[in-house]
Amino acid sequence: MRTALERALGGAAMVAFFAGCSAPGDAVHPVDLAASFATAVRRPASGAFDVRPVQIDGENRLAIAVPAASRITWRMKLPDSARLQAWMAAESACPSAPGGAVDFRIGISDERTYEQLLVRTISATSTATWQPATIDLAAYSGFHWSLFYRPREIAWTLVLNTRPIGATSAPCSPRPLWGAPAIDVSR
Amino acid sequence: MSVDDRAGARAARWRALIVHVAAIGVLLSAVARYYDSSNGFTALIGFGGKQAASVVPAIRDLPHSVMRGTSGYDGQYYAQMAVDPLLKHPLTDSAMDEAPLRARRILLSWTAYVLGFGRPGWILQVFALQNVFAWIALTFVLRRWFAMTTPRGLALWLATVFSAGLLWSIRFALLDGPSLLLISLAVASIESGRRWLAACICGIAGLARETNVLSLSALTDPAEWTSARLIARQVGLVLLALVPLAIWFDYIHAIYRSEIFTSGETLARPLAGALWRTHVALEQLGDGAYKPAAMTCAMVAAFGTQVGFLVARPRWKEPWWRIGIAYAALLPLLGQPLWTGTPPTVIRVELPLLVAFNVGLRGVSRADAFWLLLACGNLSLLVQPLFR
Repeated sequence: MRTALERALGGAAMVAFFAGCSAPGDAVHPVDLAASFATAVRRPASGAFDVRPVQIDGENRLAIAVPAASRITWRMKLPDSARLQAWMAAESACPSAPGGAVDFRIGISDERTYEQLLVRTISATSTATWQPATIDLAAYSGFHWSLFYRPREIAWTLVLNTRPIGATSAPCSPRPLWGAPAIDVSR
Repeated sequence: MSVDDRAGARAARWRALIVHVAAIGVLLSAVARYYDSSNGFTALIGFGGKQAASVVPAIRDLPHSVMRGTSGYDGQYYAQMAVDPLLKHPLTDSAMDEAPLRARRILLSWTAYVLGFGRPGWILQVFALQNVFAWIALTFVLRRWFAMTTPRGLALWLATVFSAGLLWSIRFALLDGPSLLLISLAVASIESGRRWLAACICGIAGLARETNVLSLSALTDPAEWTSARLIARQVGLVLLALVPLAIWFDYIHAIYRSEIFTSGETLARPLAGALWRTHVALEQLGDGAYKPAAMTCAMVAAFGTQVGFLVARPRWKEPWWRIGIAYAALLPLLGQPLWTGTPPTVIRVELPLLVAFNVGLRGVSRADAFWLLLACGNLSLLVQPLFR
């Protein structure tokens, strides 16, 4: 017959286990990455980054215009059921002679392991359109059945990279645009 | 038993003892060639000169032997994990070729850490020699199945303990020799009726190398699926055996996340690796490179004999047969990287298949068939003369 002490210890162990598994962190809210661009780390540090409304194909979005080869990182905790939404486009710097393309890459890191979440190549044409991307970040947020993995407690580094594809002379390098990048919550 | 019979039996036991001691002596003398007074036995680990810049700081400044101009061998990665057994330092990742894949195989890093009392210099020496200790232990465990008092048993024992895969595992401080020891102990436990102990051993073996979970096939005996209670018992055994690996995978998932399921190209579509190796052998023949081509033919013939024999003589009740058939099923799925080199990795990974085959040979009554099968199934002995 189990003693009261055994039952108490068992109960305490269960509470500790589930508390450990599901310890809620501070409430984390959706993030507008374009609006919080000032807090991001950007490379090259001296590169031409600017946040401005950009109208493409009739759609106006607050976009981050970045150099052809660039990296922007945000460090943050993610809300439960997080997802990343963004639109991508490549402006032609020389409308008279459009050409070239840009590799857009999105990844996530915890300062130890980097995982690539999206790779997309977009051509810079005179008839550019916004290319949407929605990335489920549930694997990096919320509660997980694990003894060791606590994504709520991790400050993730979200990485947005661009890289020019093909040979384009510097003045005519395509201009990549990250349109309205934001972390929101899937319901 | 007559006096002559008793004397004969005693002489046979002495012969077995002498062969056993001599075999250990031969192995130890081969291992001793890798010792030097400044680096100890670290030449057995196979640190590569090309990897010198990424070696973890705890080892970089320690005296250790380096194979200049080469990338070294896999043991160097597990040895570096041994000085960081919980993989807490990002620099450990930088020292690996594929950190998540190596991290799955942590057991021998742990044992080296414990036996080396956490001191990096000692850990390296222990890591280098673990295979030697495991091999010596294995020579005793294998006597359970190979009666060394008979010529057949002696031949089976010698063919097994000096198999190419085991020797290569010792030469480069790899995981396969100790893995085979654990699998053999698990089978011995099952045959002794200690199934729960066997499940624990299988669980530990899974931490040494993920393919060792195939030894679970020894725990599950279809002949016992006669009642719900017995089925539940076998399910319990399997679950118990999976617990250590599940906990460790959970731990390394917190570090490497989805990367832990990477297999590189170690798994491929059926027979792709074997066919690639055969194609290479044919090209070598065309170029007049007869020796490597012959090695490949020997290896393929050995595997063919082993698999064919096990399939032709099903013995579901025998744990070794069940393990052998599980590894036979794995064999065609092993990809090109595991068939590369001489000897290729596949020879080490498939060691349990070799033992299952050799154990199964005990049931062959015809002498000519026995010796022919023994020769064909153990042709890979030719691939790795003692520490070439």
